Amino acid sequence: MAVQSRTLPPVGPEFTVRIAAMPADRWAKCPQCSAFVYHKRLEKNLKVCPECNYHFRLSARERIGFLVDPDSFQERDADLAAGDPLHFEDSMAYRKRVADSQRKTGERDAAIYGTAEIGGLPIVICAMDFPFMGGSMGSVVGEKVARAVELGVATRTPVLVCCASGGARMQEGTVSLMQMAKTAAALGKLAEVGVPYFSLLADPTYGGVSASFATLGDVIIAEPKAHVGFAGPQVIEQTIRQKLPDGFQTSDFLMEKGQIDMIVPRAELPSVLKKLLSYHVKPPAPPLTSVAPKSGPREGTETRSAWACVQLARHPDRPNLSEYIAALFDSFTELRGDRHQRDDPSIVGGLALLDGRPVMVVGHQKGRGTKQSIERNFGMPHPEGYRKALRLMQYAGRVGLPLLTFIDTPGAFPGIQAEERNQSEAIARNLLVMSRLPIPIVCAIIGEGGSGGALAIAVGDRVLMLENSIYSVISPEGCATILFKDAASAPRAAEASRLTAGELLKLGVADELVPEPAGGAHTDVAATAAALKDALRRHLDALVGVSGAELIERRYARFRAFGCFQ
Amino acid sequence: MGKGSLEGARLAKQQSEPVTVESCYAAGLDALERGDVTNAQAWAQRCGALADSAKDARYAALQGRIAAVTGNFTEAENHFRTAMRLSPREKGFARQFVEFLQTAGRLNEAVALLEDLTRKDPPEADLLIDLGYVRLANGDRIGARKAVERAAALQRDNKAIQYSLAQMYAAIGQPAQAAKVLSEKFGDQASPRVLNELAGLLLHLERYDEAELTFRALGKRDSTAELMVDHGIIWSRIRRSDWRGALDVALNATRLDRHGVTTQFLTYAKDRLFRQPPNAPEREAELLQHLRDEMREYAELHASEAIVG
Repeated sequence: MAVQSRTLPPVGPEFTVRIAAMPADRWAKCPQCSAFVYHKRLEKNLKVCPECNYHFRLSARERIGFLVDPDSFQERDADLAAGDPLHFEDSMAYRKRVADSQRKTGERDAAIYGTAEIGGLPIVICAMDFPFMGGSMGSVVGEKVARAVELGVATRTPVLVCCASGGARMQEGTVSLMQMAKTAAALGKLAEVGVPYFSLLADPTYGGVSASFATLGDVIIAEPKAHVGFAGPQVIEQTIRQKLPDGFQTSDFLMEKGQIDMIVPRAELPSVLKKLLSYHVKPPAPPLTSVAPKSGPREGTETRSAWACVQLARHPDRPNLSEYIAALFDSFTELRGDRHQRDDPSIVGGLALLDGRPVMVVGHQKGRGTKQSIERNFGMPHPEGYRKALRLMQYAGRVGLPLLTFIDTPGAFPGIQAEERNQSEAIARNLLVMSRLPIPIVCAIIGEGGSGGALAIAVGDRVLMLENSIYSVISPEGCATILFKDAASAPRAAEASRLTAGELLKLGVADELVPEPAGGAHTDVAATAAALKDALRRHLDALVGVSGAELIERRYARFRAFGCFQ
Repeated sequence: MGKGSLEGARLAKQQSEPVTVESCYAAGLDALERGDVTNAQAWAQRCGALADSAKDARYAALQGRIAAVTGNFTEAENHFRTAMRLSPREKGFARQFVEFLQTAGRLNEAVALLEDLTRKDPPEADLLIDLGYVRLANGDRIGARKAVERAAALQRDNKAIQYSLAQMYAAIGQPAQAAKVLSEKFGDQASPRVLNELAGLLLHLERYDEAELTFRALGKRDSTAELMVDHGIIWSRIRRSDWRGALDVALNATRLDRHGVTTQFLTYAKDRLFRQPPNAPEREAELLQHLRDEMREYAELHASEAIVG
């Protein structure tokens, strides 16, 4: 693996001299397990304790050294150094404190940035140096982050910022506070030009850094056991007068609360970043296809009753989203969390390659078997699931990735907490946002398309339906109870609702019916996936050449046209 | 940063010199240091093409280093053994092999080789230190201590080796010995990093008078540690039942209090001055935990700093 060939670059001449002069420092003591680790073994292990997996803190140069391709880092603005806007002096003059840190670390301030390559793909990288005054953000850090982002804007190159900081630098007062706004504003520009921004959170990331560029990543990655938060745990404990639970503000906590996309061990970071970057390489233009061919129902399909379709759509062995993802895409990187509440496992989304073409995938995820089904909440999303979908769809919209959605839900979860967190707004927001995304959107109904919970990720340019999938405003049982006053009339309600693929094709709700094997999708998953892939590819080919404005206009017209009145 | 010009100078130097095993070896190691395995392999190839390379330990050692970096451990071992066979008197190759074994986590073999290398009289202190740590990692605490004690006896004025001895004592559960070495061998020369460690050992040993003095020394050396130092002094006084003394320091230190921790020290000292609170053990445990956290954070932040100065 590439990591084997990486070595940590020297921190500076002083460091080299110290090591040479001190045999004792050839053995590093792990702060977590107290084991002594031979320094070369530690370096080979990228400064992760081989005994307990503790991730030692890294300097900015060490961080960049093992993340990027050897010799690819070209530093920019290395000479930028702090001023003293307040002529600040506590127990020591600020200028002297900065000078001391410069001498100790060999750096000019707490961040370095420049251009580099990861796996041969270009990136603008900025890394914070925690040993330099606790990685605090003053003018220089803010300026370097902003310049890194502006370089990304100018060159249309993805930006990665590696964060490790105690927060804003007090010695620069409000000027340091303004760096939060400055860096966030720069990231706003980056988003506007459709360039992705990745944020890597290392231990610790707090305060003004956490509350600005650290948490604004399109993709946010954290190292294991990194502590990240706005207020420090001591402040919180003293304010609320409560002992905080174990693991509070750690990477695992952030993951559970939906604040980050993934936790990645240090050794895997280069390959994960390379994969993420690969999703943002523009693919070659597809062959021009003006109209996607539309297939009709497979012979004999129309003889299958609506109720039989309902049962096949709900069949316990029917392939679910993760099985289609495995079959359809060359690679897939799951992104998690709504950034606010938690990661809802009934919605799965992420970046993928469809025959080498980068796309964003979002879909309902059902489980297989009782345990998994409970974990996935039977494919019924909470508001945070829809908000995760929204985040990913907006990400795709910003960077110009086509969006593929996969619908398979009995409906949005009906529950107290879902209402408390405004399920209605979550669904409604998605409808609005999807209607205005300037990217091709192809939606595939692969099982149940249950009402608003399904539509919340199904406002697309094309809607495909697997032959035995269904799409309805209410479940047949619900309809039977309300309108037919008899739950046993569900088969009759199913028929009356015209919820099958064939019927919806006639109504214009669906654009194409994707054939399934005679016994249903579960009898031959590979064949079903192949047919679906073929359909997705054809429709995408037909849409990728269309401008964003035109797509939005056509999508508007499509949904504007639905209605039946005299 | 002048990186380009340094690189240029290095290349120019290499190109201007005649190609020998020595120059290939130096250039290959240089490339490895920079993480450029491809270049190192190219140099090894050039070295291999020279007539006398097969009998030269440096060629074998360079191949061993490259194999180790690329994860071919068996191949690396063979090359290092060849290097040692070709040049048995040159300890440098044996050390490279030891380093490889340590890096690969093959501690038993590293111990055996280090023991072999340290049999000569007098042995190299550095190798004894390595032997000590490898034995420790291998679970041989007594052997570990003996090796480092031998090294320390050989170089009594070498601060780095004395520091290793203190670390070894602490690691094998002899904190009094560790504190003794740090106090006696470093004295006024101890860096903030060493003072923080010494203070921790003294607190552990419940030698609170000395702990307070050590915290004071640390405060003088590093003004950024002022709050932690004050907490250390307050805690030392609390443990000596010097409630008024603890309160005095706490009253002054609260001006630095950001998170209410100092206030906790202060209120506890105040409470104990007048009465015995029923929850004293819990409160003391909490205060000690705060102090330990601060000292651990400090140690981590200063881990790469010098031990003297």
